[in-house]
Amino acid sequence: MQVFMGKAAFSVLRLEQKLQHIQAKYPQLSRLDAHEIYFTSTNIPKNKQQRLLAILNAQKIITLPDNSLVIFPRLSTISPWSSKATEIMQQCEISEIERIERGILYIFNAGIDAKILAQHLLDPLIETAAFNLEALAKTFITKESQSFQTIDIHNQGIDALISTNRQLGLALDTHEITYLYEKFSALNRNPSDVELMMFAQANSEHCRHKIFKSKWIVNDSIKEESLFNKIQLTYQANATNVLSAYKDNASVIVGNKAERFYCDPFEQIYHFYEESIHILMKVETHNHPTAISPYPGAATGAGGEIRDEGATGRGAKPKAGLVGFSVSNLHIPNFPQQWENQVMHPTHLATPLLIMQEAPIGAARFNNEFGRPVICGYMRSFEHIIDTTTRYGYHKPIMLAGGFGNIKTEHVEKKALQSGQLLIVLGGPAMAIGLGGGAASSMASGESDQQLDFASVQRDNAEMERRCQEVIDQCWMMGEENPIVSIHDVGAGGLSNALPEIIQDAEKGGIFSLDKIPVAESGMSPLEIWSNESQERYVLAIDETSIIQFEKICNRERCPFAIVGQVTNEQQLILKNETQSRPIDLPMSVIFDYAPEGLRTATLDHVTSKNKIQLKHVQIDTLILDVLQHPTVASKSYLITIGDRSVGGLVARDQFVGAWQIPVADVGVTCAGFKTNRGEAMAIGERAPVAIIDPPASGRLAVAEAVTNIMAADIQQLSDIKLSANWMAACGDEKQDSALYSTVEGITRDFCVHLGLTIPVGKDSLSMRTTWSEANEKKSVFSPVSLVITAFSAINDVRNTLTPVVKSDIETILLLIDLGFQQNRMGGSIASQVINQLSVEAPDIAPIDLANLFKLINDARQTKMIHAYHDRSDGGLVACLTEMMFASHCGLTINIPEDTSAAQFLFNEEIGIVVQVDVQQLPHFKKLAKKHDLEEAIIELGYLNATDELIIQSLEKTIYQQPRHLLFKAWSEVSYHMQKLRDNPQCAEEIFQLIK
Amino acid sequence: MAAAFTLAGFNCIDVHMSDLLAERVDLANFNGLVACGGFSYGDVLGAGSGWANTILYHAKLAKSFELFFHDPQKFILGVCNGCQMLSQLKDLMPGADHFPQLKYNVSEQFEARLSMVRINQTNSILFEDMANISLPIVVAHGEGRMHWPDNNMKNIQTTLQYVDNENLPTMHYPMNPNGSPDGITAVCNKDGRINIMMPHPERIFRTVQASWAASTWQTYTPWMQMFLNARAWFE
Repeated sequence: MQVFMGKAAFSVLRLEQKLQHIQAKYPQLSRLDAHEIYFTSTNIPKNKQQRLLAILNAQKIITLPDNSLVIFPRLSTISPWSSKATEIMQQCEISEIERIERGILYIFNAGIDAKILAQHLLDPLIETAAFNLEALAKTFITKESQSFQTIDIHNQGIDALISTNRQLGLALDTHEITYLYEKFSALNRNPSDVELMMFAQANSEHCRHKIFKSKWIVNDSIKEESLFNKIQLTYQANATNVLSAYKDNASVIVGNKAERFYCDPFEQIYHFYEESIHILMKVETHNHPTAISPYPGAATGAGGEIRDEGATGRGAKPKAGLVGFSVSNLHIPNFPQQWENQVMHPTHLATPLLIMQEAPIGAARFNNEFGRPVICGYMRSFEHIIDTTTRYGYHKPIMLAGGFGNIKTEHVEKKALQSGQLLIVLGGPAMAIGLGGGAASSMASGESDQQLDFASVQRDNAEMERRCQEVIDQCWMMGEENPIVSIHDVGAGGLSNALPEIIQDAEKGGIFSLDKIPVAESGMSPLEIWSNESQERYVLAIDETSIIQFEKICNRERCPFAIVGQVTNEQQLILKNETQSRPIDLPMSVIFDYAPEGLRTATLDHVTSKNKIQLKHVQIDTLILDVLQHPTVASKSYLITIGDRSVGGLVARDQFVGAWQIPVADVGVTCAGFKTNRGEAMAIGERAPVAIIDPPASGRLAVAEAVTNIMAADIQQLSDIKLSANWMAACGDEKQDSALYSTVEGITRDFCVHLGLTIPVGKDSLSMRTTWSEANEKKSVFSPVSLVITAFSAINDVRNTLTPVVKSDIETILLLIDLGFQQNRMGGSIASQVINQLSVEAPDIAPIDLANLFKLINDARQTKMIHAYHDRSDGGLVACLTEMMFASHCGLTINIPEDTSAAQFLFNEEIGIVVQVDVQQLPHFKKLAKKHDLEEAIIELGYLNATDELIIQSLEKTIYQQPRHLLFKAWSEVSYHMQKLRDNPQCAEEIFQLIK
Repeated sequence: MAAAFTLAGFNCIDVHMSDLLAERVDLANFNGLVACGGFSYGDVLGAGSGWANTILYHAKLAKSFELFFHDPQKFILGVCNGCQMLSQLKDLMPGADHFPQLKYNVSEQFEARLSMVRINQTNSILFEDMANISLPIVVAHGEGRMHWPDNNMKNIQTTLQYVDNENLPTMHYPMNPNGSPDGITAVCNKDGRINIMMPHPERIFRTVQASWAASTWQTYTPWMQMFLNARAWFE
């Protein structure tokens, strides 16, 4: 082994942050220095050493300095860094390097226990510590491979299964254990640990959606219709323009016909191709891993969702992404809010503050490095006390990752697999990380072993995923000649879920060789190789005749792949290893025919709060500041500038709008190609706090908000909009189960079906509960039923997208189109939260009003009547109007209608939009409103003023007056504080100082 | 990038480094070389470094790139990761001694913004008729701070500089998103054929791509002129 010391591992600032972070727990540490350290398995000849030193920018060392330690990749693993660096070295003609690995050399003050310090420095899932060079050299020793275990049910009966279930953290219920016992007894053999793990992953809540597919007892009568069936009603009612629903990794809808620009894969020349550019849509969550380890949890969440998109049909192209978060109260240091409750948080989960510092970076970096723009998002921070030990909140956060892509007509449907076709793993090698994620994420936080929890998070390598995507791109660009027969991404459950899935789709079997699966860690057991969730992998089926061509593509893109098996007609799954013994030899039916027992119970009473909010003692000026400073309402700049929003060159509308680049866009928009103005749009809607008062109303509001957001783009008709529904809930108690049931019911049959809004895709994550013990008291935090709707649509003309930027050179008027019709219900609003009166009467929306609003806006857009557009959502009208002011650098004078409570008018979050129209055009606009039955919804709000202030008047008296820049300062403060904690604080100061 | 050059009248060919290594493609057959973004080798061993080193330390490739760089009939453009990479090949280039190193943004964070830059009067073949105008441009990078060892900033041919509201070069964040001295974010070699820049003109050549667009822009933004200039250079 040779060792080289390189440049500083961190910037001065990052090192100082690290030191402070550790000092908080280990005050003896007074000095910390960090250098990159590189080590090679073989010795490099003298004549190549100079070159190596130049590339590494390092010098050779023969011993470690005093008071130092090295953090480096866990023994017997090969890090992604190592494979890339080794590849670079070989291309630089230093072929003597078999492997180069990297660590970080930490040097510290005397008197420190290096072993204790190491615990503060390393990520035990992927790293280990060495205190001398000998220990470092162990990196290159390979471990003996392990064999699989059989569970002796033959002699020990079902008890053997019960104890294995616990030991391996399989999360099998008694019904499943009995099923397995019976099946293996009938096969007259003992199961292997590999088979049990595979079964547990494939049948986890995460993979099988048991709750959504279950039958229900509702108010004592059995309902055959599952929640999933209810969602499907929307598709049965309107399948127009839906090309693929419910069956693939993403749903596909009809896109525009336009000139798509890409490279001819045979000649590598770029051309424009006139074709149908269909839209695939997908939204995922990665909540559990983000709670445990925010950065990698969110990064792999983004990565997994991107793989789903690429693995749609026979290969597709991800195009634009979204990221969203719901977390509990942030408790930002030096920025306390009067409404924040006392902290109640377990030690085993990351705090909301840490999640919001690290997880967005994880997601952004993955998207950046993969090369996908993120143009849409949401963020909610929420807690609501029930009693001293129980709260609503998001200790287990929602980490939402989604987006859309494009796919060719001929690739929408996967082809049926034929016997003899090759089964391929494309992408990175396997490592023993991320074991049992499917099962772990299906448990409430705190139920499972912390070690298992931790082991269930994976690590990210975006560049590998991009190489895979380049291979997929080359394949789909071949059109009819695409060699990919079928493709799936490798996610929860690893290969143990992905490979059976791809053959099961075609009602085939498969025979696989364990030793063909690429691994980057020696000594893994068959269970670990088969079930680990190492990222950046896809499985695909390819005809034997295409393999040479496929290999050529992979080699050109330097993308690893391996032929791991073959399709068989017999529906048996066989996994062989070197010794010809079989860790798996099972009929496919044993894995997939298991029918989960389950009958869930819901009681529907639909009692909602009719309480009125008490606002007598509320000062409007304080409330405005509280609302604008609320993280849910405040500027999300710190979550947006970290992400590339322009890569690919097709983004037409990102989050920032106007000359001052303020993050207030309602919708994300892309172009279908580089010559066309046709395109695609997406937007999010989410109103979870209302679910505490009225769950179905909260669902309808989420749909309506998504619609009022996406409506800013030029969509032909309402039914062109397709929705993804992502359901989060704390299932397991009857109240929350009932809330979920009533919300699904509430948005489907009488709402989406009525509006022609189809929900062809979605996902559920129904263990949104955190429980722990503190001072012998059991604490519990669980989320309200949280439906996140993402709306997608093809659009006519990207240039017609409306924004909140107002026009100031002509005489105009601002109108509120209030679909609450002045009921001004406050339940669940941000204002109700900050004055601690959440549970009052909540808003709701009738489908007909939403349909009419859509028509009105579309008609007005056609005649160019609308100059600016913004929807009313979190923070109510005040947030909506001030955001328009910030984006336009203007002031507004607003009138409160007669006989209306000013506070209720300003802060309610009923569905509504604000538009700016020409004064001259007002009569025409009103006529249109009348035509669409919305005359009563129109409220004339007021005008632009010359003083650059927000002026609020009631009965011709000014009741509030504040300069725009002070409001902007309040709205920017969360972003300032978060950026200051996360990035160079000097920069955060500089940007904040600009506000005056 | 390919779309902008194609619409400007070029034939764009996708060339992978592995094509050059395997000698499937010969650089000499091309008129121009454009190195695009992002994250080659996952920025292992420094942004663009892995990519640059596989050229520098591969005798044959180094020679073919050097010949290409020295050919007065060829033009070279590097954007973002391509800029980071090409700046490390300056020893193979004529008149590029002043090319900077690229360091981590002063904010210690990836910066994705729409930033205002001023185009300077230089020899650059791309900006000939565009000098002294200021335009918004897309920025998206983590390591975009230009750095000259020993602060030796003589003879720099600066093509683009971040400017403030008064149209003056700025160090003020975020108008200068990465902390480059004097707001310098793009440079060219002495004869103007070799241009490297951190911002992305290819992501804002169509007006519909612009997060904010001037009302006077038609189908294309003024950045399209840069690509047309490259094409016109061959006439």
